[in-house]
Amino acid sequence: MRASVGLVFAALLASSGCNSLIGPAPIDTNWRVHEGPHVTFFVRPGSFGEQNVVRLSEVVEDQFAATTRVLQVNSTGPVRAYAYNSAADADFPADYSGRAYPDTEAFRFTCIPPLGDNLFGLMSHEANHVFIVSGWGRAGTYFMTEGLATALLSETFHRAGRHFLFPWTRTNRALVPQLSRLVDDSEWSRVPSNIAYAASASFLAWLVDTYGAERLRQIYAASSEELRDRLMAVYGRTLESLEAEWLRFTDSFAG
Amino acid sequence: MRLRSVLGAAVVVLLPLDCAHAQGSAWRIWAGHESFTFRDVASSKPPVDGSPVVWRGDGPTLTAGHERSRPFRLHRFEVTASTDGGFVYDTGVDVTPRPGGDSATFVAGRYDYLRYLRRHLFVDGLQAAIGVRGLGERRVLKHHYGGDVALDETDVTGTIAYIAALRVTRFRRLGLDVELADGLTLAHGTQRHRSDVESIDVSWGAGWRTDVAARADVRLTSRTSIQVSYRREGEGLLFDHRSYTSGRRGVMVGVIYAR
Repeated sequence: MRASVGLVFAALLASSGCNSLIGPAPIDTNWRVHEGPHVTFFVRPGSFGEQNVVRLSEVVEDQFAATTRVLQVNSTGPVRAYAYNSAADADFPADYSGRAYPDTEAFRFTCIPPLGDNLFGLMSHEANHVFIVSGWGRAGTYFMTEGLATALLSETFHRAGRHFLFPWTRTNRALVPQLSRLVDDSEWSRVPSNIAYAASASFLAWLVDTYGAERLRQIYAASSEELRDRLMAVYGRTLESLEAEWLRFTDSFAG
Repeated sequence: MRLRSVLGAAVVVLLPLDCAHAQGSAWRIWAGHESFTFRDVASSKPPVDGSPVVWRGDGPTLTAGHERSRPFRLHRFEVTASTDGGFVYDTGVDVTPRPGGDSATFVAGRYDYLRYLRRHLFVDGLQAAIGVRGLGERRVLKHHYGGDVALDETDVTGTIAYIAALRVTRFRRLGLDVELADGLTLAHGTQRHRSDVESIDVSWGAGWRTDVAARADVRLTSRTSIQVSYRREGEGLLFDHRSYTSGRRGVMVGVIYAR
């Protein structure tokens, strides 16, 4: 009895408690560093990312310039970009994945061939999370957080922005949920993520192009409950009215 | 900052001592040095997905406390204040200094109740205890970014935790104890993002907290002891649209005065 009580206490004390089970993994140090003007890359030695880091740097610096110009914010940085070899390397659920950490100005993504639209789009989307939150603070909804990061994609080096989003909206009209569902945080996770991300981005890209970023900023931090009233106050239109105008635009978008 | 901490600890250590081990009622005061680490979290599914970059600072910490003990029970009250500066971004590969305005300050109040088992474990003088901890804390984190952008965060937290502890009472002049506390936290957070426009995000959150502490106290006189302690705290706080984990480690030196 005495021994078992002792062992229980010894095990509890040795476990270091919840934090060692739930808390984050230790910092990974197996990186080579490539410094850029605003974004510093961390790549695995000898990896596809290291071989192409100059091109990746060009793309993300262009994205930095585009996002800060549209949002009219002062420069931020240096931001740190971590390029992983695979989903397993990054502990992501799938190969085409990334995550952003705006408070510590970092993001990470899977960097796998080919070097093209998908990779550039993914990297730029994650980078945009950091650029946007640094400049404008936290968004009030998942719709705004995820949608704006893709809506602001620069297309200098790829076509994963407007030239993908607007035709996608036209050809996938049957799949696109009503915006009233997407702006509701409690509904967001029930919509397939690829559809939720693309539809939100398409609408917000159109909204920025049509009405400007300054108005968008006034609705940016609105929560799901506040967004409808904020739209009416800023745009003088209902969500449904703006949605109808956006869909008419995507139907006629010629590229 | 480090010099201030060392001086603070020295002042406490050099107080006139005429010491005692904690039996009955005792007052304690410690000073020391701590480091604070912060990582924002992208996914809170365990184990949480923490940033590859650590925002880290350090600074002085001061604790005052009172305890009432019976042979098998202990009530302990403590108030702790800390302020951390000299922040850096630590990637594990390189360390980059942050603007001088980055800071973290903490004020916390804590109550522990411990109940020691009557039987000694393995050897005479080794006692186990279980207990509960109630902890309230207010923290202010100030984080600056390029382009005159600043993020101020004020979090008020309440934690309820269990405690598992072991103490060695075998020696007349030396006491040792180690404890683990694991608990759940309720938090109220306010983030102020300041650039050319100020935005405020207020939300409720929840999380976990783990505290590990080890102490050694040496009896100097019948009433006074000197104590050296090491503590390590880890926690996670999950709010709407944002989460973070943080850790604090510190070494403290202090005196115990028993009445």
